[in-house]
Amino acid sequence: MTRWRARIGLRTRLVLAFLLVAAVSAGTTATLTYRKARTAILEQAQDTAVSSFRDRVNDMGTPLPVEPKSLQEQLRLLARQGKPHPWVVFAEYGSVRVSSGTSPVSTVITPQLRRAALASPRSGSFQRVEKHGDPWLTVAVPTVFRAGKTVRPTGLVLYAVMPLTDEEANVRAMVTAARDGALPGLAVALVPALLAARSVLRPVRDLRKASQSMGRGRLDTRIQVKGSDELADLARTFNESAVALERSVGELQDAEARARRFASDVSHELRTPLAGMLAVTEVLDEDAARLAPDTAAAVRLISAETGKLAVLVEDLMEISRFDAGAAELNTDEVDVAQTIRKTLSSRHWTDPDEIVTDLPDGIRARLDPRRFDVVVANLVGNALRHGAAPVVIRLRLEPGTGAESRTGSGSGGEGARLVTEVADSGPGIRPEALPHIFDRFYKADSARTRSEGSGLGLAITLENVRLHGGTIRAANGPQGGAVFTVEIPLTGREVTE
Amino acid sequence: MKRLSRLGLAAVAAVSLTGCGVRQSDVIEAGGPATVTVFPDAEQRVLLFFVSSEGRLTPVSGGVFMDRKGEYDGKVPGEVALMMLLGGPSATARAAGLHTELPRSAGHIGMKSGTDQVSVRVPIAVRGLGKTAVRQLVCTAAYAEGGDGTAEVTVAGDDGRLPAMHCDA
Repeated sequence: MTRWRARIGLRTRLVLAFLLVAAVSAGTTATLTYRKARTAILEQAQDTAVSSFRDRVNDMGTPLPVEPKSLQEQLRLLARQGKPHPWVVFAEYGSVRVSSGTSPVSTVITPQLRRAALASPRSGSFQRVEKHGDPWLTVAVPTVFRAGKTVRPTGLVLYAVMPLTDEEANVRAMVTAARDGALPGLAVALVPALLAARSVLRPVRDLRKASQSMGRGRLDTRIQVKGSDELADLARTFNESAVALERSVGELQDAEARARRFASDVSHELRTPLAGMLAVTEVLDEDAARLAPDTAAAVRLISAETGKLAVLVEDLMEISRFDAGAAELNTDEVDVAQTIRKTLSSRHWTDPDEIVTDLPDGIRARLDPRRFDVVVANLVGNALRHGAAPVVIRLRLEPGTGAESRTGSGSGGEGARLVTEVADSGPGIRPEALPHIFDRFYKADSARTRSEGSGLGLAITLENVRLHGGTIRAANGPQGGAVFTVEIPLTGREVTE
Repeated sequence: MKRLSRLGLAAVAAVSLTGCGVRQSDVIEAGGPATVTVFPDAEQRVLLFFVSSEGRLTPVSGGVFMDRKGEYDGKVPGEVALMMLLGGPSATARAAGLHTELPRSAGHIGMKSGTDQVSVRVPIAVRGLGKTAVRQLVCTAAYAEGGDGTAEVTVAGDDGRLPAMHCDA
């Protein structure tokens, strides 16, 4: 049933319902009218026939037993006086059979009528009979005569047989009229059906369009409200909901923008004094050796914390630039393996016990070298800080779907990706922390409230990868260490060998 | 919805099954019988009751009679009527399929008629007669001598008498 409803649209259903109602009412009216009229036509014909036949028979006179010859004369006279239609008259008396026609016995008169006439000789009766497809009216009138104070049946029964073809034609004409009236009626019913369907479907269509438009983010979409029916109420409710939604979304956006602007402003304001402080702490660091040991320790602590603060502020400013959409990608075609090696050596991560590399030469890609450096440095730094050595860095090309063979000449094909993997040998990331690992200031280890990092490293990494149109995944390797996988699509004309 | 569509189908079926045109009917009673005139007139006839082929009592009207002087009298003596009845149906009546259930007899017939009572004596055994045969006798006697058929008739025969009866009983 549900499938049936789903297949047949609202318009079709409405039109069908209208047509059904129209058909049922037209059919019922036509049928009832037809039956009444048919009964009236037939009753009139029957009553006229029975009473006029009886009147004619009343004028007859006969000896008993009947004389067939004179009876036949009388029947012929009677036959000419048929009303409303000419009739054939038959007489039955004992075994005598006489008629006004050629055959003395009728084939139309049924045994039931004959039995009824004989069984109750004091009442006339009639019966409609169909013979060879034609309707006939058969009337039986038994005769009585006065004998003393009473009347006695003579034993003579007279029958009239007349065709009902005229009545049949009239009845058929009514059927034709009913049909000819009902069909245009159904056609006319189609018009209000379609109008009603339109009046229902137009608001529904408007509502669907508006919902789609809102779904695409156009929160200022409104529906024109017409009339005051349920559908107008629905449209009004939709509009009210849209206003409320637009307002709350606007408020949220404003609040978010304010918060970002605040973070950006704060980091900007902090940068200048921090630059001064950094300069001072450098001088103090140089002089620390000459200070008392306690003071020297304090000075070195201040210097280290100031350095961290500077990193935090730099990270905050970077994140703010991403949020403001101000981050730009300055791409250059580079050898990816060399870029990674440069990153490692510039941070002095060269101890083969700590860093294991699997960097095939010759993979060239169009990247922003500075941002890719940040990505690799952040991942390797995190691995060294939170995981355990050795840290394995792998680089490879992965063909996309339908890509040409890697060993073949030419490009890597559509959808080919550059995959960089950084895996450590530590305990890995707790499963419940995995979904939040790229959130800002998220601490994977809740016990360690103070991290050596800013807490923004992975967030910045994520934003940088996204800027390249790539993805980053965090997972735990089969041997238990955390594995970060960066996939960047190869765009443009990268050359692989 | 399913129930509704079933209802609609039933309605459509009912409408189409009603049929069109003039249909056959049962036998329908309509009014009384026709009253015909029977010749000869009531004053000049004698009614004899014979039995039709369907076993119904059927009246037969007898002809005009002359008295012994050859003058037209009009009245038929009851004894003559009963004699005619026992003589059996005429050729015309037989041709029309009438018969009698009484045994033929030409013996003496006696009849006495009062205001509402008639007693007849017939030269046949009456106790063994069938119901129709007895009614033939009773009705013929009740209408004899200008009677109106309402008199109570006592029939006596060679083997005794029957209880008094009416013709219409």
